[in-house]
Amino acid sequence: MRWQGENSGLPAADTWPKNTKAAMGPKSMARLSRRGRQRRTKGARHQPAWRQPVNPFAPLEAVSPDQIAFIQDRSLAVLEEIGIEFLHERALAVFHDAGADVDRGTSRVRLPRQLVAHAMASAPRTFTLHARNPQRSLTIGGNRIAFTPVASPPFAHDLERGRREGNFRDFCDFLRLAQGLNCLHFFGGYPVEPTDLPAATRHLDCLAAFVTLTDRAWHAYSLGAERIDDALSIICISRNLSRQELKEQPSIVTVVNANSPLRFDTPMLDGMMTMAKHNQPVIVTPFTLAGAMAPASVAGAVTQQNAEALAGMTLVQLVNPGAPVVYGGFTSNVDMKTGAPAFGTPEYARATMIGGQLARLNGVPYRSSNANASTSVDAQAAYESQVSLWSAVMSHANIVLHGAGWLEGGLVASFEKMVIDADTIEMISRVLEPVEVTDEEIGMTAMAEVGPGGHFFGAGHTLERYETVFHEPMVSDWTNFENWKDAGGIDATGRASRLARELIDSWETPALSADIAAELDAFVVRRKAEILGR
Amino acid sequence: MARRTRSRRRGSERSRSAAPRQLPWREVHNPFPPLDILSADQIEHVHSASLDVLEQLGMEILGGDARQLYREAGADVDDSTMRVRFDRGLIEEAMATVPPEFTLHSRVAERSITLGGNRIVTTAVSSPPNVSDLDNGRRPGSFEDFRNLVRVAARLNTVHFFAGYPVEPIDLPVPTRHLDCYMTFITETDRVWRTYALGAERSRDGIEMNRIARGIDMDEMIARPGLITLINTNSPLRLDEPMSQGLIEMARAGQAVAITPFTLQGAMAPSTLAGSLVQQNAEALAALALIQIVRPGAPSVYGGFTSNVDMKSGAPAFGTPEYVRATLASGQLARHYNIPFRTSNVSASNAVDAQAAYETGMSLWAAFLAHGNLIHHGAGWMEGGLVASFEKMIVDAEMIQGMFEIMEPIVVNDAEIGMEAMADVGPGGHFFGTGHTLERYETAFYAPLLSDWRNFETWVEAGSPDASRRANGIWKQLLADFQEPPLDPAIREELEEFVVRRKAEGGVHDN
Repeated sequence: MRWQGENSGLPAADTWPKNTKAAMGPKSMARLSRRGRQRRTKGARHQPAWRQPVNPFAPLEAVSPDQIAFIQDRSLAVLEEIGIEFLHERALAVFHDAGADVDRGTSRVRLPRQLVAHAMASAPRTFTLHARNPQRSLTIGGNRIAFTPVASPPFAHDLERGRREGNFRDFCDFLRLAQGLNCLHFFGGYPVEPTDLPAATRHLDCLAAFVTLTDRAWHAYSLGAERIDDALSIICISRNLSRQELKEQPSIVTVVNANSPLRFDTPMLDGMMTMAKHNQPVIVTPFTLAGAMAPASVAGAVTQQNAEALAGMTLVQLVNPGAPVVYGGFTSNVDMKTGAPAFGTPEYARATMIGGQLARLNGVPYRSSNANASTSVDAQAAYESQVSLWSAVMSHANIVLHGAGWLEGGLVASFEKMVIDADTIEMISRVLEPVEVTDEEIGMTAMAEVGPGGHFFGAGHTLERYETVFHEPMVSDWTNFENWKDAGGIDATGRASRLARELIDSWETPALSADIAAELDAFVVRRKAEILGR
Repeated sequence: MARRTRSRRRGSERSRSAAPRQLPWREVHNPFPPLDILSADQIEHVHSASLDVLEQLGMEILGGDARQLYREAGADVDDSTMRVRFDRGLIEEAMATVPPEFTLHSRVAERSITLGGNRIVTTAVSSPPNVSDLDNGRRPGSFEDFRNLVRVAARLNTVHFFAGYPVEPIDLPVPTRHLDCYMTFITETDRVWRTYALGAERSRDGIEMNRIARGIDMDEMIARPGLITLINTNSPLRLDEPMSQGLIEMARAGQAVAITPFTLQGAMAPSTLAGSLVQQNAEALAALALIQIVRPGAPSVYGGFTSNVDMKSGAPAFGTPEYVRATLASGQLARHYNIPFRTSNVSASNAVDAQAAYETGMSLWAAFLAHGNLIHHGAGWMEGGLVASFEKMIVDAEMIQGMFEIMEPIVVNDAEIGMEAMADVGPGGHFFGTGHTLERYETAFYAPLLSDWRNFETWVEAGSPDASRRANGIWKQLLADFQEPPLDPAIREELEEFVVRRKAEGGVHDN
């Protein structure tokens, strides 16, 4: 078949879809288009089945083993010589009892390297995160990857209604949308902050919604011990476990951010220690923006990130040796002209790879993100996300937080971006699947049958594999320009908008026993009365 | 012509205003190990199966000269069916003389490029019949568009060379079009460029113009090649006559030839990764063997372009998972034969939107991880190659220079780490004003060409320009600031005489 795209120095370069149709012949074309129509009706629900991707590749490493050892050594020196501020009495006591140099007046803790090494030795390399639906339980660590929806933006956005403050209606729609996307494995936080709910009881409504609208594992915010305690109650009700049984089955995660530089605040520590005591996973993520909260160099920022992450994970291990922890890497840089954070930059990609190397060196699972800084769902949003996603996957991230829907450096949760991100996550997941090289797959008989200059559309080898051989994305539109224009010339963001609506509308209540639903309801009512009655 | 001169003058005035920021031109080395998707056994299986294809099925070779060359090298040739079958020994012997890397010399020494090893060179988009920009929409390519795209691309430091016409200037007559286009490459850029291997005459014209432009004789032209051509096999299993004639002409003159089968899974190749790879490899090996038969040691490139079709419409898809997997595997095959690897930066979107960027991101990451040495269609490709987009050219340049920056070595030492700064700033402080930051202020971080990191409110006040609208402003500024690189007037005169003479002769007649 002649294709002139690369060598079109001839007159009238034909477009190749037209050639294809002409070359295919009526029989195979009819067969194909019939099947095509059937497949098209599946629309947004035509997604690969739920699965947790396994990364078969060697991790991509941005610095040499010597350089990694140097960074590790200097982070331990930061912990020994400069120390970290822990704004929590109980945390200071834990460190003091473990033999750290604690200055109670300044809340500064200096950690000897042997103490850190000893604590980190008890951290598990992998653990299971249990979901209410056992089929949605996850392995965190090793070569496995889990992706989450965006977490915690104050604003929501879609094409139809524009940018607005986060609210509970959007929150619930994001849960429904994420529940409909098979590549999103658990919730790493509220997809948008429902600012219309009272702050004191917001967590009760949100966590109950995770249980009733989705069947996936979820995250609880470490904003004080009380909120975490409510989360523990809710997960126990929804999974029908005692607190003791919950300890055996990690079921909720929390992300703790260091208040970089070199500080952990009181509510975070309170929540974190409560989580640790109950053996629930803590993701320790320093927020080390190079040039703002960390030195203006990749080497400096990752050194500080590593010091802070090790300090946080050490505390978890001191509170409860063997409690699941995850190393969070979130180092990026600021725009030096404005101080605005940038994401998906070359510095971000390199810091992500180094973060993965440091997580492996310290023997714990690794968390990265799918971040970008664009203000609209345009080419920039997509190319910055590509850099973030590929560097996350190639650095062997085990959790990709903010996997779908993050926009504007985390200020906005976008419905369209969530669908586009999910589509790209599925594509990259497909890349990771094993390759089969057998004589049957090669199909030399088909090549002989088709012969020089023929086509494979109607070959038996093709028809046998027709339905499943290629990944079929949701958002990508491969129709030719004329047809695309005739259909309204809708770009990827416009198509994603329709798909988001379709997915939200087709959401189905996940199975939940009536007893559990009633108990959950009663708990929320009781706790609201308690909190508001104070 | 008068109008053009005026606009150039205006452009040079404007160039005093801030030019778009770019990373400098650089020789790019890929520091990462290549990503292998197939095991060593699987590579051996693909290799062996493709030799089976060549032995048992063979290739249809439409050119009589090519068949004769194959026959003389010991292949089994049937002239009545034009089928040529190759025994394994012939292919393996031919592949043994392929150089692992080579340099293409530009008329300006600093713009010469080396293909092979862990080096990466990227190109502008090649050969789309249509052009598009936000102001004038999508339209058939003209010579004016061709020239404007050449000028914009020539100002981009990520465009290392021209691997074809950035758009097909269909308003120029076919028999002499190549003369005007090659002349533009020589006079308006300082880069290496490509000849189209559509018959022997076009190739000969290109070789002669390149020789004149570099002010050298034919012996030096052979010793220090300056041209490359890209040959597509007519998959499945066919090599057409004009392509093989161009190949033979270029190889005879010692110029570089890249062989790229167009093995779209499910259309021109089996729908499976394994099947399409075997067929791609068989076709590439057959054509690479021809190059080496003509001139052992001639610079050659292994091209991988395997992707899949949309099973619903038959339309080609790019930047898909299938494309990524085929690219990674193709890189392995090229390394297996120790030959430079060509891949592409491709997408199938109809607009410069999120799809265009994520498909391009997939293609680029695949290219870098697969150790692509020549990234074809690097900047400006749209719609599966049917359109050259001015705005996409800028988006691609941003993406590519970002990738190049990721590949720069990272300095890890005490000065970079800045432990003193951390001690000075202390818990809860900030690094904006520290000496460590101020010392690095200008150069610490990548400065983007296109990305906009302003906050939402400022961005809205500026008219909410999305990436493609901003790209529109950037290419116009690059075009307005364009300046022709210097060229020896005697050489220019000789080239002009050559073009005038060849036009008077009617250009090419052989196809």
